[in-house]
Amino acid sequence: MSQKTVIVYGAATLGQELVQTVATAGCDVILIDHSEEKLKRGLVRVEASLDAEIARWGLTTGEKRAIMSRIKSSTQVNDVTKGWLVIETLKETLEVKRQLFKELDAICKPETILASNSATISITEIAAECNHPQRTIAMHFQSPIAKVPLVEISRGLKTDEATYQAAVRFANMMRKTVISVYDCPGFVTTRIILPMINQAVKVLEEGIAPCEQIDTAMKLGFGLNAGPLALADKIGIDTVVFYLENLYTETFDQSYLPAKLLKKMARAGYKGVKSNRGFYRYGEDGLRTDNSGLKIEQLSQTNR
Amino acid sequence: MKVLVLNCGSSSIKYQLFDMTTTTVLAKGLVQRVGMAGSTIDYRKGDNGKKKVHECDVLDHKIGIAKIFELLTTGEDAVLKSLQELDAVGHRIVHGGDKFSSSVLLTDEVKKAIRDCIVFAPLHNPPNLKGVEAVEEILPNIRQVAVFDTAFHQTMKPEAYIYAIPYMFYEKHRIRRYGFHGTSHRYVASRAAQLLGKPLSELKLITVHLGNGCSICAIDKGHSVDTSMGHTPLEGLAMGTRCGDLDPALILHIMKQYELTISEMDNLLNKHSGVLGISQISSDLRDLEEDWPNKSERANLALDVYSHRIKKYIGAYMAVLNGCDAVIWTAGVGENSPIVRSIVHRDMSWLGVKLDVEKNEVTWRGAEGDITMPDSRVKVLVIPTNEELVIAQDTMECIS
Repeated sequence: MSQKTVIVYGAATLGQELVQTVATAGCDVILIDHSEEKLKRGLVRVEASLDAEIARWGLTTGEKRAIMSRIKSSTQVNDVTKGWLVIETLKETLEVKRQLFKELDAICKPETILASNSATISITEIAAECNHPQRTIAMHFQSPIAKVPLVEISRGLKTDEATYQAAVRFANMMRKTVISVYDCPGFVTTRIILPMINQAVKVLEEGIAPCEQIDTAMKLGFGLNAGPLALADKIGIDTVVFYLENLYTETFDQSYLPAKLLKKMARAGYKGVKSNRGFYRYGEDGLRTDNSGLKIEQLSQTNR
Repeated sequence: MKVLVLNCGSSSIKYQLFDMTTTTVLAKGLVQRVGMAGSTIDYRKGDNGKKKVHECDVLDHKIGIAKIFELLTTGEDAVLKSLQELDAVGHRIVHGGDKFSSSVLLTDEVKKAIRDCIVFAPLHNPPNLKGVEAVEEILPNIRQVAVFDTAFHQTMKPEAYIYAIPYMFYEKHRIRRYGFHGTSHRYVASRAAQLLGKPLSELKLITVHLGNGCSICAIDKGHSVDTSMGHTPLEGLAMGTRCGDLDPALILHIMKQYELTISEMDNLLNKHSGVLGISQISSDLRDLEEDWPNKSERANLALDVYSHRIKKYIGAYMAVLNGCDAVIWTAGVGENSPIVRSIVHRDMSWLGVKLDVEKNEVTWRGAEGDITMPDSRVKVLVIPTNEELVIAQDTMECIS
């Protein structure tokens, strides 16, 4: 069993999506989280997501049963030893991830691969306190993981070739195309998309155009599936701020200085889809309920 | 002479061991869930022996085939003293493209050609090849034969296999009708000639293969001249979960309206359509026929659509053949559904078919025979198919 089992650590949105993708590709997977309640909610969401696939003919009920049968969950950190690969999807902060890697490094056999789904933090730094940093690697799966056919892989300074090759094989098994970089926070996608989101927010702040028009312009003009503001809502406004700050610290490039409005929104709890409100409003099912989007005045002093 | 027949799917391996001196089945079975947790191997000694299920880890096709060899040669149900007794292995290969018009001895060159055809059958040819390579590794000197689903239809003329789209797709990518179930159509056609007491070279036949997949074939003098499945097994008859013929503009229309991805649309057409899609009850005809015609309106509709499509093709193929001596029904549904047969052949007297209602009712569950009235100009025969036997026979022919 351990030959084929993959561990996903962290049952939040990315963890759920990853578990679904891994199980759909035919691998056994254990979802680990310290909170029983989060695990339960995570599995319910995975099932709901599979049901949504069935409703749009992407899957059959038989296939769903097979997929669910491959998913197990656990609150025991020690269960990470049951996998040949552990992928963490915790919060995007260095301390949290470094601490987890240190712990995993101590529990797991030296040949177990430890992967971080971090988008903006150096894998070398995350693995700094590991005794076996050669088996650490960053694999950035992008949400919605089931649909995005891309994985960005970043090798740390000490990552060995075998670990890298195994990560590539695993990504290919998930039917993903791999883009590889060397220890590079932000990879390619995050590095390029963040300044665009940041700039879109500034365009909104300056009153050049309202939300919907900014998104429509970018969507139609460049053939994007979603406009930058809708995308920010999907990623999570607080996460976008984290990403920007991490990359600013990394590069000292001004284009990563978060727009004021983004920080305001994050503080106000306008976190995007996950809090039902960001640049747009959303129902419990995550679908948009308004078309016009956030009005700047809503966040200004005069209209408090 | 002992011949092992293998049919390697993506997660399963069907096997049957024949003694070709007496044309008997020595053992047969099925490996399921290859590469997954909870794999099992069924094993039956003889054609009708008691099924024994073995549980074991089958991580890949090689381990599965090694396990089959082990069951054949050891334990109380062993049928071979050693693998030395085995003379050859015959493989079912789904797609041979336009390179193979008959079964062939497997060589490196043939394997390369099968590999080149992966693009036509991405789900089937790779596991077929894995089976060939696994046997090669375990028994490096054994002779192996490839029997293609597509080979029998290679006698079709261009007017039957060219699609009316820019010719460049044929020239550059060999996009054309290939047809499938060739082994089955070929087998029941030659068996029909025996039953009718006439040489195949004097017969015009229409063979209707209705299993999980369904296809129909027009056979003139023993040669396939047209068949309903096309470049892929999705075209033609309505099936359990596959749509068969469809207005191609609908695919674009539905994808646009529901914003479907290519893989969602692929699933819709392959897994959510056919009688399952219409009835929303089941993909299994037996479920729809239960209590027929009182089950439900939709169950009846599904059966009617399914049957109407078959009728339409029979009419078309009678025109293509300029006549017809017999219509032959075979495979799971074809052999076992008097209901579908009766709906299809109802009101076909102008075309020369007069069904014997009673004979139709009793000819099923492996029974073989004519189900028409004595004065029926066109005969309708039910003939159980036996693809494994054809593969074993072809294998014998290729190694001798």
